[in-house]
Amino acid sequence: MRATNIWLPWTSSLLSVVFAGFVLRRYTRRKGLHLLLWGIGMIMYAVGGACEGYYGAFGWQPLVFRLWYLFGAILVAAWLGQGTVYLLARRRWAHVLMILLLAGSLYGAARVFTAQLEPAQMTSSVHTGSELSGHAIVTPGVRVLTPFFNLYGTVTLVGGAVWSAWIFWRKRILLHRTIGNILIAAGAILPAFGGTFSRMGVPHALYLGELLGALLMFVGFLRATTPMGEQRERARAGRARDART
Amino acid sequence: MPSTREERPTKEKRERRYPPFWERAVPVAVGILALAIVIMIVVIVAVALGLFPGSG
Repeated sequence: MRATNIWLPWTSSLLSVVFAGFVLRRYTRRKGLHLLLWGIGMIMYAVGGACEGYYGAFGWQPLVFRLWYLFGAILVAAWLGQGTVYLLARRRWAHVLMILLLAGSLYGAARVFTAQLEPAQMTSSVHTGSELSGHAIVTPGVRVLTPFFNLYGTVTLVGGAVWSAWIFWRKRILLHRTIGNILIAAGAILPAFGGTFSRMGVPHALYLGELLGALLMFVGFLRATTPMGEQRERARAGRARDART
Repeated sequence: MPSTREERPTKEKRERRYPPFWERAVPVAVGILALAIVIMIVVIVAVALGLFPGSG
């Protein structure tokens, strides 16, 4: 049972690092703030997973807990969602929301790093303590921040991917992007459901949700960025033409 | 003499279509995900209000 709490989050973390590498490599080639923010978001995902793996392997450590809560519980969904905002919304609105997110993130970081911690609280209520939980934060006004960030992240990341898939489907264009966006949306919502089941006392639900979520988002990203069939042939022909000229 | 209607492809014929599987699967998946988003928003709000088990 304990081993599961080690390898599940470590695998999530490793997968997220690889995923972030793919996204950031695409950013260096094509630019686009959405790619940069997705890359940063996946690094946060990796930090969260690594902290969970550390807790499973070595036990409680206040700094590791604070890093996990800040990046893994508060910020990751919102920063990934902000990438989608840059992709879909008007640039001016995206900038305004980015400034708000940045300010909120700094405030959240200050609150998390000054909060009083009580690890014994993680075994309270229906929690078993086998997974990291925000219950360890006893200072009021810190955990209340999390739902706001997660609400923003869910609406923008999952909602944006579903919206994109729907638009592509209605126009019957770019099937690979339709499929990719559906996979990204499904992957993005899995950690949230995992967290919910974890709160209900289902063991490993959070870590399993995070691993499957990272995997689905990665596959979705690869699908969305790889044309299929005729489009692939056209893309290949275009690259060959470019190489000749 | 063939009519103009026969020579020109009809609007239906020119419409873009996904492969049959995806024509059916995409709206179902989008519907499920939209429902999941609504559920998650309700859960997040419930957690924020302290109504959810373990959220206190």
